[in-house]
Amino acid sequence: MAVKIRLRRIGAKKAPFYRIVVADSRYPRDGRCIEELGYYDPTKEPNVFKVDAEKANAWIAKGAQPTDTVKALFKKNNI
Amino acid sequence: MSKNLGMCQLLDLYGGLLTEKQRDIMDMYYNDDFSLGEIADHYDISRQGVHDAIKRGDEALEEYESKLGLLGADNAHKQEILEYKKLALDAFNECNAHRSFRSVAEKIVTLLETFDARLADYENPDPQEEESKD
Repeated sequence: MAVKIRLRRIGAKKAPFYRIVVADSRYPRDGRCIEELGYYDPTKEPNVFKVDAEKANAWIAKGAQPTDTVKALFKKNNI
Repeated sequence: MSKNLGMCQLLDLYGGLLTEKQRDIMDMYYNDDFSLGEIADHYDISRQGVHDAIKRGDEALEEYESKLGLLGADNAHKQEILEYKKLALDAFNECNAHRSFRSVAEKIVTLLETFDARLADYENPDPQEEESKD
């Protein structure tokens, strides 16, 4: 249960922008991540979501848990 | 996620008005996508405590927005600029069709550039640029 696929915010003020990262859930916030999978920009219409599907599926197969938000995003983009 | 987007923007605007701990908890929850359990572990408090803190924070931020309305005003401002830009673009296209209006068209180009500069404040930098930043 320790490895998670989650969003990490890197955007500017009032302009959120996220990276999708694989990280150990025990790492402190802003801590290191294992791998970056892609990015997500909710400010554009429609939202921009780009992710390396192969890597994401490989990580999920290895038991990485996507967070609820990431799960919803994956589902929306058929990954 | 669209609800979270609104919350994120409110947190950016009014986060400074919350207590430091509450802001940190909300920052972890909304910006770094941590679960309630993970935040609870981090601060050594109960999950219920984290949930309550976030809920209180949500309410506080929404109250600030309803009283101050900065985010709404900001969005309205952006819409306004977009509308002006569209009008200017129409005018430009019309002027461009006629030779004698070239000088007007050039002035409109300056206007368009101003609008673009204003709008740039609302945009994220290019994703590729962001990638290389850290």
